[in-house]
Amino acid sequence: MRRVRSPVTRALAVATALAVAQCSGDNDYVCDQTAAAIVLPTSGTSISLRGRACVEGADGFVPIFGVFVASQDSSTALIRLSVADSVTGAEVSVSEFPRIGLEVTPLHCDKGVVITVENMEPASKEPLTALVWFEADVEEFSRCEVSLEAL
Amino acid sequence: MKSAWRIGSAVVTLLAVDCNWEQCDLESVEFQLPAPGDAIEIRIEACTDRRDGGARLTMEISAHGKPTAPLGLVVDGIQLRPEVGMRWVADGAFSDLASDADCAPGKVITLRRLDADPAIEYRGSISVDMTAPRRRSCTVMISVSPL
Repeated sequence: MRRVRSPVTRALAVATALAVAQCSGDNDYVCDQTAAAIVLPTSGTSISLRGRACVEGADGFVPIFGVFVASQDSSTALIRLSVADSVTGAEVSVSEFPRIGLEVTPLHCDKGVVITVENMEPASKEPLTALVWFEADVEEFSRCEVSLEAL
Repeated sequence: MKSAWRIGSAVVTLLAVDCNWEQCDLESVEFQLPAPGDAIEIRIEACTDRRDGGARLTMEISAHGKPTAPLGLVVDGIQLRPEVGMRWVADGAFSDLASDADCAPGKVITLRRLDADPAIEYRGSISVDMTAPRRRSCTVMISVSPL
């Protein structure tokens, strides 16, 4: 026997299915990304960059910044990555696994964040080669642009 | 039995199609960023006559000289990874199948020096290898221009 659904029931079923599909998965995607190839010649040397993220979205839209560093031998090379949020004043620093996520708002388009990478090797004879990724992860259908510049 | 025969035929056909793909163009370009503040744009136009080509891109950048202060180079448009000895490399598929957008406007990579060390020079090379089904034509153009 074939079940007959009213248009309202059908619309509700479709809406529910869409809502479930929307909530069940992670809809964030990398909207834009840029990178800085870094060389830190000796122990204790550091470089600071300003990262800006301009995100087009609705009110309260909060994307996540993923910032991380990789070195030629991430198991032994010791790097400290610090991010200072110029909007909230918050500061985050990690050294063991240099990856930081920050929530950002449209205000970060102007003020951005300050990213500092420091060579923490006790006695580095060779320059440390690294890469700083700066990206915006946003909800679907949002547009954004990220940039890095020297301080 | 019939379906097994059909699956076997499909696999053989797919393998045959794959074997018929061959290199249709290869382009390599070298570039330099000799002075602090230098910036360049690399534009790659990968075009096929029937949108059924594939392109593979490899890129290498290295810093030459003895740095006395931290160095920085902003790279947009490609995912690099660091290597030993002040080198960064990228390799991988440019696109599974070259689309209209890969041809025009194409792929754009920008490099911009952040450091102020005149003793350091960045040198690099980029290479794009295109393949397509036999007898199909394709072209790869790489242009480097200062920003």
